[in-house]
Amino acid sequence: MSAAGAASAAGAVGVAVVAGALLVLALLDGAFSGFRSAHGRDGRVHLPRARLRSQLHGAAATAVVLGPVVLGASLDVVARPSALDAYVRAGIAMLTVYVPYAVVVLLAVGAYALLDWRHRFLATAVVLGPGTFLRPAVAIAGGVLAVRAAADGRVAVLAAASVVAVLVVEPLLDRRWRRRAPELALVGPATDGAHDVGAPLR
Amino acid sequence: MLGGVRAPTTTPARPRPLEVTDLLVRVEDGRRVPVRRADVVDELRVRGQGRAARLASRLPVRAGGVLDERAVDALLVRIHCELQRLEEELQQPRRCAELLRPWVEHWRAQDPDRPVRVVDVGCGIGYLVRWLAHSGALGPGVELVGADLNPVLVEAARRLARADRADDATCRFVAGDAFAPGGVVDDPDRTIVMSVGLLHHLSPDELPAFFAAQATLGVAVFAHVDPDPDPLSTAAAWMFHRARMREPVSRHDGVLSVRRAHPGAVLLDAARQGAPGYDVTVTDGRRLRPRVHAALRPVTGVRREPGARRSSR
Repeated sequence: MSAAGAASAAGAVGVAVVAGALLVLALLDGAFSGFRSAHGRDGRVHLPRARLRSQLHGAAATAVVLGPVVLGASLDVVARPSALDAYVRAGIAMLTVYVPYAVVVLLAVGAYALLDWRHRFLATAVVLGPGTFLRPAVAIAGGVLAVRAAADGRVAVLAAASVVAVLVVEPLLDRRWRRRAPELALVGPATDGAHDVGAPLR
Repeated sequence: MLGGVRAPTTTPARPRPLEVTDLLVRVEDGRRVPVRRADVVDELRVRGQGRAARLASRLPVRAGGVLDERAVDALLVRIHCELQRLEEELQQPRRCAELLRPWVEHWRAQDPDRPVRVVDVGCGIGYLVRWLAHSGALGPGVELVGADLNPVLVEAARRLARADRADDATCRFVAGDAFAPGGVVDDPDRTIVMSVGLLHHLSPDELPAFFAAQATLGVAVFAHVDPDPDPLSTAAAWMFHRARMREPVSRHDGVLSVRRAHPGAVLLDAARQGAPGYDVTVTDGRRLRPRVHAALRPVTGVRREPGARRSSR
């Protein structure tokens, strides 16, 4: 293989790594969004299947809303091969923010899944709760860095669109849950004890 | 034991702030009565709670400006489901199980055939009771009873218990007043009355009567878990409610719960006044230190003379 060919192959690998890493992080974020959106809707105690289902829904919803962005970027690269470098720069800029955040969150999720309840509490109190709170800011920070690094109008627009797409997944899923209103199944006519309204216990 | 001694609160200059949900259901003479939205909004405005008043002003009404009961009930259940999620993440049921287990095991060792009863007053949709039933964390021979003033929440708890396939014999829910829990205390020597997140709904003036209700029944132990108030706890509650709760009312009320929670000194004073025959313990964290070990802390009372019931306060 010639030097130019080797450089081209290395470049292709780099593009694949950056794009793949961003896609994996986006789908993971979508899975967590799906979980957060579904969690606390149904008061039952143990719902392992529902949780897995909610994570798959979240990842699928992210894939759907990110689809147009990925398609737009692909078409742009086909039309303007020279823009590929700008996309790679933007992707790397995003990863410099998202990878450390993801590593911390995934370590905390691992601790939550594997350790005893005291460490679960710490994982939530110290990382997972604050992590969710900071998530929009982290997403936007990555987008801003990507826009600056790209120095290309179309790449900047698509980078911003990808951030918006990731951030709208949870509100979209929340809307779906509001329409389903699972709580109404719990507030129907009473089956027994319907008239013991606030009376002292006998 | 009371760490970080603080003076009991004096009478506040402004009326004690209310949670929006405190005003949505009114029960008079054992019956639920209509609540006018304008009354709720005015009550909150009088207390200087502009944001709470705005939230209340958006609640759906039916003819005559009366709050739509079904919408209110659905809102309350949604809020409790969200709260359950937060309790689950913050390991509250496990923490409660750890708190209760020594007494339960002690009584079981004394007499394995005689049941131990745990009564959760103000149980909402009964998450703690259902979790204890589902996990078996307290072991065999434990009867779990959840009580709440709001019959809608009690009915939701019953339905969820059925969905969780909880055993009716060991896990049940009743509508009733936390100030009169007599009907669910058959054997006070082996009964723990507890609550999670109830105490801050009571004013300092009401607290002694609340503790006295349990002392009058002579229950062996009471254990009531509530936020430890501190500016950092309030900030953490604000962040967690922004991150985890979806309902604006949940976010408002959840933060206010911590802000208006009673300092340990107030709880200690009230419990000693209402239940003088009990050894009372409450431990506050040090002021302006993050409560990374626990989101809530208990006030516990252990009856001094086993078997001797107090006839009156």
